[in-house]
Amino acid sequence: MDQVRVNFGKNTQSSCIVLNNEVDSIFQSSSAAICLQLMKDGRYGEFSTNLLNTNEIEKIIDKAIYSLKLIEPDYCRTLPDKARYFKGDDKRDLGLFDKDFKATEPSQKRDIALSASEKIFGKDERLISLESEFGDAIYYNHIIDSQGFEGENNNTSNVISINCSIKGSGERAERASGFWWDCSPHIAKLNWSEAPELALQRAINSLNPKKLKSGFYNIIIEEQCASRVVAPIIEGLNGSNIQQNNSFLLNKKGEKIFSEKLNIIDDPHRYGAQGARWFNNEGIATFRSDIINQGIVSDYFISTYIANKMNIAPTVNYPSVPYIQPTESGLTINKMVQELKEGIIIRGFNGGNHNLATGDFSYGIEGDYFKNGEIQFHIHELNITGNIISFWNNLHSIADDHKNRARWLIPSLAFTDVRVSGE
Amino acid sequence: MIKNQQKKGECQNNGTLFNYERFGTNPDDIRRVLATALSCGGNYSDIYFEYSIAEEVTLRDGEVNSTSYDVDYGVGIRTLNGEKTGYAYSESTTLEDMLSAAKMASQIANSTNEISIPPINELRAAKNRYPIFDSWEDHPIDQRAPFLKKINDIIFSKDERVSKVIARISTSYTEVLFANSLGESFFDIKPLASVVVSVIMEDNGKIENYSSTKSYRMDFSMLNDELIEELSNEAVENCASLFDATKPKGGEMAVVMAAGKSGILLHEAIGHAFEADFIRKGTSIFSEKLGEKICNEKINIVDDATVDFNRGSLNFDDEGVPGQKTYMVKDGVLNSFLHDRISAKYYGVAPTGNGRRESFRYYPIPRMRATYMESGDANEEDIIRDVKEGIYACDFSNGQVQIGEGDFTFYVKKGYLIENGKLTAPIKDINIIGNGPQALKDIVAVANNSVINDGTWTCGKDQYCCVSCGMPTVLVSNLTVGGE
Repeated sequence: MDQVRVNFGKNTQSSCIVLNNEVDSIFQSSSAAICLQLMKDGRYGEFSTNLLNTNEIEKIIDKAIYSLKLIEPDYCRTLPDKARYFKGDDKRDLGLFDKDFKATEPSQKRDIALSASEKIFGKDERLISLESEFGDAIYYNHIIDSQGFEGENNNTSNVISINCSIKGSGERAERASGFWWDCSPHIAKLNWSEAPELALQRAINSLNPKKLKSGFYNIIIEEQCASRVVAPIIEGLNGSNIQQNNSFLLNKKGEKIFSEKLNIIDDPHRYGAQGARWFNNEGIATFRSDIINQGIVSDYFISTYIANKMNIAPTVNYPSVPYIQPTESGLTINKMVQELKEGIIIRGFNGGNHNLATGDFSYGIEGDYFKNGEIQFHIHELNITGNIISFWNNLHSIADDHKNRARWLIPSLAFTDVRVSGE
Repeated sequence: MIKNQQKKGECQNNGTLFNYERFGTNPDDIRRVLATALSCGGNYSDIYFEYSIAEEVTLRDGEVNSTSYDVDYGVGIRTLNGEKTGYAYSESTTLEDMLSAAKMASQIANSTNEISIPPINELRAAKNRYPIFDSWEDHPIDQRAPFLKKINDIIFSKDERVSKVIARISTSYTEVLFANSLGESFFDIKPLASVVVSVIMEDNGKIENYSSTKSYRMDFSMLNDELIEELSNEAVENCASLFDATKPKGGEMAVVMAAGKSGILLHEAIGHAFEADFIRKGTSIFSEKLGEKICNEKINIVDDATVDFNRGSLNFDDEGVPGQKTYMVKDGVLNSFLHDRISAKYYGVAPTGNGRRESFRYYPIPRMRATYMESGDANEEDIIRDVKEGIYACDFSNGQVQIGEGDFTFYVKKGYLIENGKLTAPIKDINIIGNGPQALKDIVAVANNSVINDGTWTCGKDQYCCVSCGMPTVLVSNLTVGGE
């Protein structure tokens, strides 16, 4: 059967960067493109263009039909079962579109970037460089396919980011930097005023870092970077990796392999969450589901194509709003520090990677060393190394502090007995 | 005979004709847009047209069964007012839309200005570093598919533990037309082709993966039996070796960086920190070290746009500066930062041709090209022999750096322990971390075997750029190695 899905997307973006309290750059753009996913005689291809006049679109259709004849058939490439489509029966607003978006004047955007800069510029004589950026965007996406599915999304986004450098002392710590950001679909909810001071404070706290001796440590991973250790799990559950036998989670469905404290849920209809959506890019209605339930692998992310290839039931091809449940209501990093008494708070990762086939990982880290429940000094030039499965079995607790500024709602995480390499 | 030279246009650029027709424009309209971009003041404007076709064909589970094709077209207009930038782009190149984008970019300045743009002077590249003799366009995907099939068959024949192969050929063809308010203009055709082969092997319930890649600014002649042999050997031999590999004991130790891919050390440890936007803003740890001796006098480090067919090579950078070779470190002394037009003007030096952008959607910023260390006078065997206890790192997947602090990392996909001057057990999957200036000082031996690696190196700094890196074998006396 010949099938087609057409995806039309357009967006408008702008940004203003303020460097050392002066406007340094302004940027504005508008883009639109169309993408055809064709399945003809079992042959599959994706063809896209941003040249949207009739002549160019006809040219790309001709190119598509010609190209598909040149490859081998793959009868697993089909549109989804129509029964799984989003029918449009739930029309609740997901809180991702700011109706006042177009009412915001360029001068207001510039003022936000400047006002954020003014919060800390000149407040600390060690400040070498301060960059404040405000950016916004409006996205529109329309999907239609030959089985009759049609759906559209409208989202807006507003981002403030502050990056500052301060001068330190000592041969190996001449500079320390601090970064903070916030993001919201609604400009009125953007918390731009706290970001500058948080960025500056993080830079100051990073001065005069030390290394630690190699050994096993308790670690707490701050919420703003904790998704780093969740990503290998999400990637390992991806159906394409499972089908290619390239996952440490292969044949683990239904097994308890992580700590029973770990519950990861896909919550696609959570109001205001950045990844919230009623349907995915196949038009399939999204639904709340367990990803990891009390340490047990609940399901893989299986697209229609992978389901056909593996002869199993499809799910969704990617989670919308992965959310990790806290182990204790109201639990904070400070309370974790008190409970663990000694260890490391990871404030940022510096490189590293994981082996998807084995789950082995090794990441560079920086952050703070704490002892007797109090922060002692900043640490740097350290690696943590291990295996994702054993690492997550050393889960101590999960805080109740996730923020809505990212698509993944990951709170701060505490682990015990983590291998740290240093001096 | 260069096929892509056969374009209509007004004059010839080193064999390549200026293709105004492609973008529906002409020199007079371009000058009008450039003048509009300076209508509120500012000291410089430029316009960057781009037409790009990206095509991909993929083998999965033994069949060449998917393809993709993307056309991208647009124009970016930039106004500079000192170090300040106004930028807007349009996906339409009608004069009306270009003038609208130019007006937006002009808002970075706030005075009035009546400027006359000089006549367009069409610059010629000293040499076309990536001529096209046998265009990809003339070889549809059914002529590329047999290459993928052959790789697949050879890989499966090499080791019975191979369970899966994904192989992909990605090509792009990009035409760029550039002009600026100084009256300079160039036209360039930039090919880029990559082959990526990922293999999965299974052995007694254990799974390992490995990806082998090659990428050049080359035409269809890139696909040959030699490349098949190289990619398939590298993928199978390296993947098989991982089954026996373990993690070393973690901590500080001597690290011998093997020739080739170890260039990632230069890219992360010093390359980014030499990019002059970080210098101008004072955020780089090397900001105040120009002219200082920063490492062993036997060390020469280059960022080079002139290597024929190299992934990082450029006839012109993306703001009209000819491709060139820049000594970042000469005889151990910090010789030059990597400049775009903004930083070059700020420091009163000539631009080094490092102003690059991902596409017309971005304004150019200082970026690396092919970054490598030249050969020294030691040999690899002697360097290894001098290490009592350490590791030999020969394959890497990714790296990162903190510009201000200078702390950098790179992830070792494969290496070996060094025990009493000999390579012993294989190791894998460890992160190495160090501090850029200190690591440079700690390079105590440089071998005579420098080589540029031609993998699919891609650098991310707000926008992506294709680069390459290279290195002779070197001994770094102390780095922090992740491990057991």
